[in-house]
Amino acid sequence: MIDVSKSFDGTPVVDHVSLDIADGEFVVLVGPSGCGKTTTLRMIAGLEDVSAGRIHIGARDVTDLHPKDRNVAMVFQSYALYPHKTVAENMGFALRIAKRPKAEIAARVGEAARILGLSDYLERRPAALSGGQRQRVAVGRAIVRDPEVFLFDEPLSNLDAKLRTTMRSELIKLHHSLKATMVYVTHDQIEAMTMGDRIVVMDGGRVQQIGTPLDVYDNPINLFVASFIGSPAMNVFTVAIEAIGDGVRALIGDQALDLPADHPAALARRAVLGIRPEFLTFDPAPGDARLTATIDAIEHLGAETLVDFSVGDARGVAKTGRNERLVRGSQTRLGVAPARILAFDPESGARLRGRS
Amino acid sequence: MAAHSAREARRFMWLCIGPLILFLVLVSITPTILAIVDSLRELSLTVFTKRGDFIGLENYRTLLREDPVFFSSIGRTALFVIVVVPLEFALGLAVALTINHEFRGRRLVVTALMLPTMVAPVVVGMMWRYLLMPSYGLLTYYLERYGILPSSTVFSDVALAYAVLALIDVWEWTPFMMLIMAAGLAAMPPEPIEAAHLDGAGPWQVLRHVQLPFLRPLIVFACMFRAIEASKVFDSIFVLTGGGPGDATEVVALFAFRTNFVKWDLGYGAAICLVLAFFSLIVAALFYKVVSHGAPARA
Repeated sequence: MIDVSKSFDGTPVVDHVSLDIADGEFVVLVGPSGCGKTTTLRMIAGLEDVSAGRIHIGARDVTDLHPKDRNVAMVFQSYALYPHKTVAENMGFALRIAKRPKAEIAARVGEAARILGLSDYLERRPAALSGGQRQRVAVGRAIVRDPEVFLFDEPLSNLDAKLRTTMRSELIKLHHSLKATMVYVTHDQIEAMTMGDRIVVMDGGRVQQIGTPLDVYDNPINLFVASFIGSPAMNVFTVAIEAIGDGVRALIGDQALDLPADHPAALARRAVLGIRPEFLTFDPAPGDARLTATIDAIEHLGAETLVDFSVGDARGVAKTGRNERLVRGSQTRLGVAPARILAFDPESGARLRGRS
Repeated sequence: MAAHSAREARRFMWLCIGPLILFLVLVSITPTILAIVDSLRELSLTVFTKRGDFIGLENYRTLLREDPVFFSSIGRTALFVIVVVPLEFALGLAVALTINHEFRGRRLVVTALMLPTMVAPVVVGMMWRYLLMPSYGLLTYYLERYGILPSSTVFSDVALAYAVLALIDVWEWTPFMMLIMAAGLAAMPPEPIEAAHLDGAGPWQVLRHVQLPFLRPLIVFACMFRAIEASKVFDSIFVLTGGGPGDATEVVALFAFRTNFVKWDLGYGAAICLVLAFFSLIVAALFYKVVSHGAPARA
């Protein structure tokens, strides 16, 4: 996609999006609702016209092509199955339209059904299937086509949590076995992190950041990406910075967080500090920046523990291993390695990179 | 206390449904019983012997065994239904598909298209009667002037009269079909159509494989409804041709009317109406069966 824009009645929905997806890559478009990710996907499918820019698939410019001529298959959130057709007819519909021989249709439908575990349901109508099975049929309908690009529009949103996890890993496996190019839209950052070779974080119709999941997680380009990716969300504290001796001091409420002089926040006067919950520790190591926090709530998840704390007016969450010593309402020392503290500009939200 | 309130509830129930029952007894049940009684009597006002006598099933026997006019009028009605309903459906669907997207003035267009259906059938008949009047008719004038029809014979030619009546019915009722089909199309989720587009289907294939199956219950309903209505067609034919020329356009409703109120053969007329009611009942039962079982499950 080259510099693609889309506006509805003059309101820009997708704003100069450029995206280069490699053959065989699994790319996830992720962002809050209304960020333009679905519109972007629908423009790739040809279901929406672009207002500006071009879209290429392989060597072809498909910008002005009808959806049926783009050789893309799409899986919809609502499954979009043909209710009056059987599973086999649903999956074979595209081939039937393309007037392929019956034997070939049966073979390809059978193969897709085998991959998806639908072989026993081929003669059923969608109404007689569970949500997960219906979505599998929708995926099957795409597989049968053997398209150049698979498009997924929040395909797991209508499924319950457990099924979602199962389908997630099935889709990942499917991607590995088909080695097909897939573009996947979701608002669920966990899906984005777990599924994508690369993820594209969108907000307000613009691409915020493109990168591998861990790269985006570790090096968010701005405050939006930092807070959107990760669960529980990154802790953010708006702080005033003042210089002290050989470093700087960030003031969070009545508390001071001492940072070394080479910290990215050191050059600013005000900053937003971002700290991932798992980087906060209850027994600080030497060299860690330290805070005294009040424990507001403790959530034991079994293997790990989430601790809600407050520092003055600021609130945050720390994630630690199993820890039964913590007491609600008590004061505790929190430490964090200065290198783990990200700094953002309070006005623009852009990441502060420091001197380097 | 409980018994008291139960009695109270029963009394309230009768209070609610009482007027309805009374109404039904007065306007539906009593007349039906009277009609059944009348149909068993000789009640022709043109006969002077035996008038008012009970003659058993004689009226029914004559009607079903010996009356060629009855069966030809049923045949004409059936032909009428078979011609107009598919035409109205096809045209209504076509128009509904044409207006099935947002454009400026859509509401205005839909309202304008609905006009023929909203006009009372008698008024429709009168309108067309004036348009097609042999000497002064506006349409007749242009038809003659441009040589489409040789002379003012619209209602004196058997086939032509029939065709014109069918066309007028199509004109009047196509908007009804359009409205139902448009509502069905609007209620349809867009995704299956989009999926079909991606699957390579063109407009015809989308219509055939996605839209029509989705509309099926509505189509069944609308066509059955129109078939029942069209089989009762009366007003416009009465106003326009009165069943003529000859009895070429005498549909069964007109036949019943003429028997009762032109020939004043009231017993025989009652028998006709009851036989028709019986047919309608069968059709209605079939209709109900199809509608209640025919709806495909949604995904």
